[in-house]
Amino acid sequence: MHTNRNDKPSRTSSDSWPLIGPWQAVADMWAMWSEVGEVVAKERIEKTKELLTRTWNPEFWRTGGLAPFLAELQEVLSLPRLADLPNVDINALQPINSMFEVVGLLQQYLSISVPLWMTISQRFQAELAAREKAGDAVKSHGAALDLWNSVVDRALMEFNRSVEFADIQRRLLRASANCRLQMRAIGEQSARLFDMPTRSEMIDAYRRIHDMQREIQQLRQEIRTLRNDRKSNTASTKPKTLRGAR
Amino acid sequence: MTKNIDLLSGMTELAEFGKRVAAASALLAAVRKQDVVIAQTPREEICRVNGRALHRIVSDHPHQIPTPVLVVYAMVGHWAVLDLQDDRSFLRNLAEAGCQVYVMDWGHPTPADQFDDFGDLINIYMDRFVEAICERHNIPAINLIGICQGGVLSLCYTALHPERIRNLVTVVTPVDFHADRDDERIDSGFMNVWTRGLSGEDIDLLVQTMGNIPGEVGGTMFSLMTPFRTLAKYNMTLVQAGQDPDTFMNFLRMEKWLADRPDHTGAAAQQWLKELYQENRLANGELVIDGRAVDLQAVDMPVLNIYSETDTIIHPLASKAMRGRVGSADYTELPVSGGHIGILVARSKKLRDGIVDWLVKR
Repeated sequence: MHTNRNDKPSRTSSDSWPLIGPWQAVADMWAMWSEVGEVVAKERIEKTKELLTRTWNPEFWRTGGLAPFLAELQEVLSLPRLADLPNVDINALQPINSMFEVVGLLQQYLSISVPLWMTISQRFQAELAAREKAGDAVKSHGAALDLWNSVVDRALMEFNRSVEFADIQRRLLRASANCRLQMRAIGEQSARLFDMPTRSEMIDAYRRIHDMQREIQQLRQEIRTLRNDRKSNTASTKPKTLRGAR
Repeated sequence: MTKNIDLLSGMTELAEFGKRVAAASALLAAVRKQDVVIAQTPREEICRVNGRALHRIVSDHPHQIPTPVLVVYAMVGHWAVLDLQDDRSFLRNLAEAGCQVYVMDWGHPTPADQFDDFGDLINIYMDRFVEAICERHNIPAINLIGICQGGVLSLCYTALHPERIRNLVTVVTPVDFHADRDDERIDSGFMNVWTRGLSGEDIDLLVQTMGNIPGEVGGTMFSLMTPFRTLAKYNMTLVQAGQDPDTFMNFLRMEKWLADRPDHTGAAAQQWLKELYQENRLANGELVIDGRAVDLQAVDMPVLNIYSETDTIIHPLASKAMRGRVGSADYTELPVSGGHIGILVARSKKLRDGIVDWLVKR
């Protein structure tokens, strides 16, 4: 390419519009961020909104929907794991989930136990009426209290043996246990942070101690048996020696 | 109701009740923690292994029965209930009747004991203590009295070490953990119903979470079993007990015992709840301890099986199921009247006499 020395360099658009380059770059950047926003809105916010809408429904809390909800939320908000960065996820919400589950189950327990007291009152009224009809009316407050107590006792015993009670007890037990295990996991993380022994490490040590104690007891037992055998052998050989000496 | 009960009589009743509350409060105000003592019969510690202890009841009474007696109580409660107070002491009664009494103390298991299973309880602790008694008295075998869960452990021990036991006495001891199904009673066998309502995984989870099963869990179970008694304990029973100083102190001693519920070692609780309450392995001959099957036919020495028809914790059928399962040709059943704990803390010496008379003959 030959250039005429007398030729003036041609003017580019950037020369005439010096801000256009940066402007274009910024516009492109915002366009990219807008795309990010769109992806986030589509992939995360909309789904999160859908999920959060569920929590406004009382049925959600009544049926103990928090656990699946948090699992879905975790899925929606999850990011790829990066090797040299802290794990960013909502696992820390798990204990809260467990606590909510326990609270939800306690509410369910109340919802089946409160009507029981209405049944008790109805039974009490019916018993009073029946006694009055039979000519054996309750004549003092003390007698009324005794009757009330016996009705309460029987109704509670029936309830405690019912399928509903067994079911809620079982679910409460599982939820409380899970909650405790998750709290323990958080405690273990804190313990590691402060270089303190964790519960898992202690349990491991207990198991080893237990195994060693068992072994020690077995060895002691073997030693005792050997000693006893030796004693009895000595006892059985002694008279022979004495006879031999004579 | 209101047309039958007038306001004036109601107020009179209320005032009477207030008077009773005041009387009980006056007694309560005068009692301090240290005034309520249990397990006061003199005793000496003979042997101790990992927090479990063997005590000998010290007594000057002549020995009517030459073979010493080891009493094994449950792990779910402290043995002190066997020596609640001077005139309500099963152990003292036995000693006064001429028995040389030893009692096993399971102690208060710590988290370090959570892996202790039936094998440890039976083949290490019980065996060590039985051996200690044998060495002390220079005898090959002892008399064993097992109560409730201690009865189950004693039965298993006897099946695994029959040469060590001369006579076996079981008191309110379950053998068939499903027997309550044949005679369902609303006020009995709640533990059986509750445990069968859980799955094996639930029990595993419970033990995994807690390590040892806290004594409070057992306490809650007993509260659920008798809901009214629990509700009325401190507003009616206490007021009633508070009308008489002796009854009041009895009440407080029992409360002290109840408050001191030792934790149950996790591994043994797992076996207790799963293999016995759920799977009924003892009655079915499927219980295995330390790799050895517990064969009740090996229990061929004289056996006295004591149960209560009014026991709300251990169904009488669960105890009576021992008949025909043990190999003993000298098997005796002795029904007694009273509650599960009541028979042990009763002033009556019927339980003691029943055991001693039987032992004297053997």
